[in-house]
Amino acid sequence: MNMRADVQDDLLKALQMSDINKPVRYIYDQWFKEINALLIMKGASPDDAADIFQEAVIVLVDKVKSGEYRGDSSLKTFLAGIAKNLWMFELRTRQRREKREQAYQSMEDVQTETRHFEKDTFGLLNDIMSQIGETCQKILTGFYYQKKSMRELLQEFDYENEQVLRNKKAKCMKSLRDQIEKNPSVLHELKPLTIYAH
Amino acid sequence: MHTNDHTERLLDDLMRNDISREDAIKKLSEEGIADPEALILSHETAIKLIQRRQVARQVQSVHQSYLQENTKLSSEPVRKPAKLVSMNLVQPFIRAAAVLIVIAASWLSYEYINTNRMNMYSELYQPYHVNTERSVAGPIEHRMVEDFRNQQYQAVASTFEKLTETSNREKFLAAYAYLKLQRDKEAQPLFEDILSFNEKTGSKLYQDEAEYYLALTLLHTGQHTAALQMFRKIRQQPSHTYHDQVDQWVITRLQWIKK
Repeated sequence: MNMRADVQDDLLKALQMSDINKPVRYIYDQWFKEINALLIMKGASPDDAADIFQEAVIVLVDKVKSGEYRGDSSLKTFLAGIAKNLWMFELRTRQRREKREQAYQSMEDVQTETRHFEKDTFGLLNDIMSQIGETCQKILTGFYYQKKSMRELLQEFDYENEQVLRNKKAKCMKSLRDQIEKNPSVLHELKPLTIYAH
Repeated sequence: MHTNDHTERLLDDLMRNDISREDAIKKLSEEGIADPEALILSHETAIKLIQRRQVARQVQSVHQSYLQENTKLSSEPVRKPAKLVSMNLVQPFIRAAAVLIVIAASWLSYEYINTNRMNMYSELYQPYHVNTERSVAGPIEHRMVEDFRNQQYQAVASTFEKLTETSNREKFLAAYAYLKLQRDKEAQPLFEDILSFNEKTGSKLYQDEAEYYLALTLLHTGQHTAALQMFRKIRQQPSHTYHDQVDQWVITRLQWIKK
């Protein structure tokens, strides 16, 4: 069933906010079962389908937040398309892995290529962020995700003035960039979202 | 790669599209950044990481709670659909059986509602025909038999009432005549006399006839328990003349009436 235009608009606005728990829950309630059934029909196991759906929602939110979703198709169709592409990508990955296994008869290779987000990427993002400390995490999340102004952030943190906070934020970002340079694989992990584009 | 707050502002301005990429690269170069492109890419990646982590964290939280709730629901006992194929095969038979049960139940209900002593009496009543082979004592008795044969039941009764001495034959013909004349109260003692006499003497004359028509008389007069008892007795004797008239279905319906 297609979503009403006004409901979809509300959902898009809600996804633009920093707290996306409610709209994401709505997406799960509305489309999880249907899209999972679609993935299972295409050969995914129930566990695979659930993981793929989660990744697809993350991509969807990313595309909405970045403005890449332009409303050419309904959100549900867009999400289903992302999920299908993700599953196709996963299938190709597995096929390549099987070929390698057949070629080298090596189980070690099995571990090198697994599906992205849920098992590897989320852990990697957490690892990198944890290296910069809790205060830096909060400042950078507040500024770059929650879109808070420096003045708003100053009220939350115990700094003498805005400039001190700006300097702290600059140090935090440098620290984070340094961590990314130490973990170049994160570039690969974050960029490939474009391959899932619907 | 050294950066300061000014560099950070330049990078953030670029991310917000407040300045062009070319201008940003030029200014970053002027600030001594050796590889502005690399710094921009690194900055973009860092912001993406921060945002993606927050989105992933919230989606993961919803995902887990959603799955937990739905796992609870799906883990509730569900009837196995394994017998579906065989059910499909037997379904027509079950349906037919169900139809038959409904029909039988409807028929039984109809029978139960419509069974009463009068229609049972009508169903069980058998016209009695005089056996011409049997010898007749005298002319009066002879006329009584003739009247009976001619269905002159009033005449039979009148004749019987004038007799001073009667055998089982006269008693039976008279009792039957009374029954036909709706004089049940006079018929019943005559049938009982025959049975009593036979019990005392060991005679079998008109025994079966007396039992059967006494049962009918009892039924007709609403003495259900006694009637049922007599019909059961007949039912239990396969050699009884009227055994075939009293099947189990008759007994069942007589039991309904008794209730």
